[in-house]
Amino acid sequence: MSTTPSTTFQSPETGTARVKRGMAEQLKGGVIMDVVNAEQAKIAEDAGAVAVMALERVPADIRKDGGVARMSDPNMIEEIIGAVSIPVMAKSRIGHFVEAQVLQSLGVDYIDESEVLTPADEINHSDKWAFTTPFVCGATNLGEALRRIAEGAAMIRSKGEAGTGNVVEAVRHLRQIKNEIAKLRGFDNNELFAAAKELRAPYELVKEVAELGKLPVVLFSAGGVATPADAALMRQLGAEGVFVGSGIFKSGDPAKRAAAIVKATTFYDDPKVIADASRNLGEAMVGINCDTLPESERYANRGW
Amino acid sequence: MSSTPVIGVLALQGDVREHLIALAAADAVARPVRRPEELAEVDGLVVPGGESTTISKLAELFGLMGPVRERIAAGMPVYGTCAGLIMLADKILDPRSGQETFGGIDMIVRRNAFGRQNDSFEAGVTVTGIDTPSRASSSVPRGWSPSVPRSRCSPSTTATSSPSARARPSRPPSTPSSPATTASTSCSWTWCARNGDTIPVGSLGFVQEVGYAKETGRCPATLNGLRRSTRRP
Repeated sequence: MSTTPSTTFQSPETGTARVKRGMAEQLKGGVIMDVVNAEQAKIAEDAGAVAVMALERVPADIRKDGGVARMSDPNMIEEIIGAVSIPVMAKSRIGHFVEAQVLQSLGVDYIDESEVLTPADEINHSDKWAFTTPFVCGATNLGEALRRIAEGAAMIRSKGEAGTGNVVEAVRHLRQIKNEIAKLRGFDNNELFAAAKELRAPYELVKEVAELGKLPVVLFSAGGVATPADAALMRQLGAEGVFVGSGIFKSGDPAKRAAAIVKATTFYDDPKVIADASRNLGEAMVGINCDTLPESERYANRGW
Repeated sequence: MSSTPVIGVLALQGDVREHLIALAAADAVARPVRRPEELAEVDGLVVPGGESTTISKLAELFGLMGPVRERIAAGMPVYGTCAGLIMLADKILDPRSGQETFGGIDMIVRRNAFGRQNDSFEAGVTVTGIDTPSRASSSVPRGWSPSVPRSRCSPSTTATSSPSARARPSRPPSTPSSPATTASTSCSWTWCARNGDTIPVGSLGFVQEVGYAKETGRCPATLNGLRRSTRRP
């Protein structure tokens, strides 16, 4: 019992796929909350959030205000980084690799190349392999998820429809991804080549998913989660965790709702706990019916 | 001693599934633990990797902090990976304000000792007592070299506790004391038991040393199982 085991490291490498994907593995089972200032970040941390997403306006306000939505002010991001001990994520516009460079230089722990912001490039996403900071990207289906992973994304979130408080699109996209994965599981090797072509995704990734029965990175759900039951629903449907954007800080009692959503995410398979968590939460965010949204205002259509 | 012991995996957040799978692969009876009643039914507890701030917060919010401490003090064997390491340290440096741990191991861990996510790295690791070198990842700054005294890193990677080996009756665990095991600068592994060909092997060396196996005779099977089952084709 007296000998201390010795450990030596050989040639440390930063920013490898394993390191980046491993970061997301740590977040599993957790809730990632949108926050716009240090005070909200503290509320999120105290409620048990596993990370916060620093942004200037929550998606509901981006919808309301219109105009071009961009990366947040570096001061605001740094204040949030300084205020909490949980990881801090921030959003860059799709294809805006300079915003991503800036976010990396600020020391954020994860970059969300997000359709919630106005795309900067309508053809190309950023080359995410070029960064040591890991990226999370949205996807509405398996092909889209695998294209993002091919570009270097280390975590995927189903897109849903951010800022609506309506979970219908989140359900649609998560089910779509899970169904397509299940289908791949049934394919033999001959069929995987055609499947890759159909999915417009690299064959190697398609084969990996077929073997694993899951994405090679962590899959969260986002876009429209507003209640504890919504969060538990996404977990029961197979999401490994949830992003909650406008749902918390556009509601009547953010601290209480944040804690309730965390609890329902942990005890996602226990209706009694979810019921208790759902009591007296005050007003939920108002919400938007997604079928009344004009095509141009559907964020999920951004990215390809 | 004839019945198979039940091993719980603290299931508040993090790499719960991977530890359940690894334990099952080692023929252990494993089940998730989220409630005090569930804790009462297990013979040992694995505290998995995850986000340590969150796990500590959730343990407080869901009423597990006290019960887990009591069980550890009463001799329940526990095993920690990654954030689990932090949760089993008697003292943490640079915690979230007011962050509590379960404690049980007389050591100090510094959270994020080597920086944020950008500074995380992976490297080959050789550990005395483990035959094959392995890959593991940790949070170490660029420019850091293996010339750092070895003893600074090895014991802190993960930990186990059994009453006669380490745990002392004196609570609370966060009481600043002079730790016998000064695992002060953590190599808190950011890579946990999945997705790769290894779990943090430094931890295995430490676990073997602390002597869960000596106490119960069950440890080697579990550890071998962990190692085996985390290898992927």
